[in-house]
Amino acid sequence: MAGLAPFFLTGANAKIKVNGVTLAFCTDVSYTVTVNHTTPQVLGMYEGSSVEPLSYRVTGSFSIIKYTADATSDIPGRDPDGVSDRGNGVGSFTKETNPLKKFVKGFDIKNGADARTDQSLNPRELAKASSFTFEIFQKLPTGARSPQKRDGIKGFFDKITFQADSAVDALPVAKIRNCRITQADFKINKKNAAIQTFQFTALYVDEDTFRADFSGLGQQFA
Amino acid sequence: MAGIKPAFVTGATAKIKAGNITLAYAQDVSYNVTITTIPIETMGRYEVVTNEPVAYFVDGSLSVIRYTEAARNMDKTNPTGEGNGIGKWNLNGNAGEGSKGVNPGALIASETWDLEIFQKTDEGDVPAVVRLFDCRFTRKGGAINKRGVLVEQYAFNAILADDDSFDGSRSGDIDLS
Repeated sequence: MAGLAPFFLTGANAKIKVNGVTLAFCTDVSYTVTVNHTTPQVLGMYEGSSVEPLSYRVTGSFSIIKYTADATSDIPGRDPDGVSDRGNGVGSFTKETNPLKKFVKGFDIKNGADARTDQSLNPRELAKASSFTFEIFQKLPTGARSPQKRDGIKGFFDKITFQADSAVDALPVAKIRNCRITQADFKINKKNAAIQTFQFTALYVDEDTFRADFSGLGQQFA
Repeated sequence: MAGIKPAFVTGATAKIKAGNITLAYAQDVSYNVTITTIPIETMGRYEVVTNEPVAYFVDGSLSVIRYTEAARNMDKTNPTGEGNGIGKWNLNGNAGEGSKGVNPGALIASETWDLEIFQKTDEGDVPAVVRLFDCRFTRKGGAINKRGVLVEQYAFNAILADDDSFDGSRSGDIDLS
């Protein structure tokens, strides 16, 4: 009866990526898909005559334990495991400092990794702020996943492309597309680390079992 | 049947190092590794499906028989003795590093330290039996009574623990990579 490995998705084995960038100090993630409905009530009937879908909306939030830019160079001693040298403020989520990588990402149509999450919080940049992609993965032991399973699920047309680094073994769980930050909260108190919480709204949520598709196909400019 | 040497780790053969300095008057050392699990419980069955690991903690305590700087007068072999208060624990080779962990004015500059438990043998240095990485003091206390010596107790927590049978490793990712 022995031999059970950790199987379920938990906070401890979850991996979060924003535009392909790992948020290692993320503490909470949630998202909500709301499909508004209406139930037409007609004369002569007690029950509704149907349940009509009206709209589809995605919202969510995530929190990170905040540490500052330059902390790694200015605080003496060894750095905590896994911290980035540029701090993990929202301006660093998708800020590529390597010019070569920045150039390459600029042409990465699939990932759209050139987006800057901080644009959503900067009045001057709001007009040109691009959306970003938020992904949730379940980490696996290194080498556990066979290469042929790393890409995709279901058939060709239903295939969902996640941005998991092929060197990292992770199972895709959810992909939230076209996110924009709508609210940023900062909280610190006497006995806790500083926490930043970001609310976002998005257009689609794909999950490991289906892709959320564009609903207006064939109607626009037809 | 004769010729058996002491083989086990006992209090008499143990050697404790904190921040790479020997705590010669350590009296007790204990540590705990706690893995928090959550039960996956579902309707329609009595037993849990699995117990999923979600967190890992290390903590422990040690106690030291305390002597003061005045003890140098009693120990002719150590005329420069300074006592073994925590302020004299030069953890990681840094003067006064031990007291930084319990001194509010110095906490911001304090560093973590590693705790190692060795088994002394007549074959020279041997690998540590237990290693606790990145320890930090969480409590300091002391007790003395009519018929005892002053013993100071220290509680600490750590990030990782391993022993001579495996190397502990971290599970996290690099941020923003």
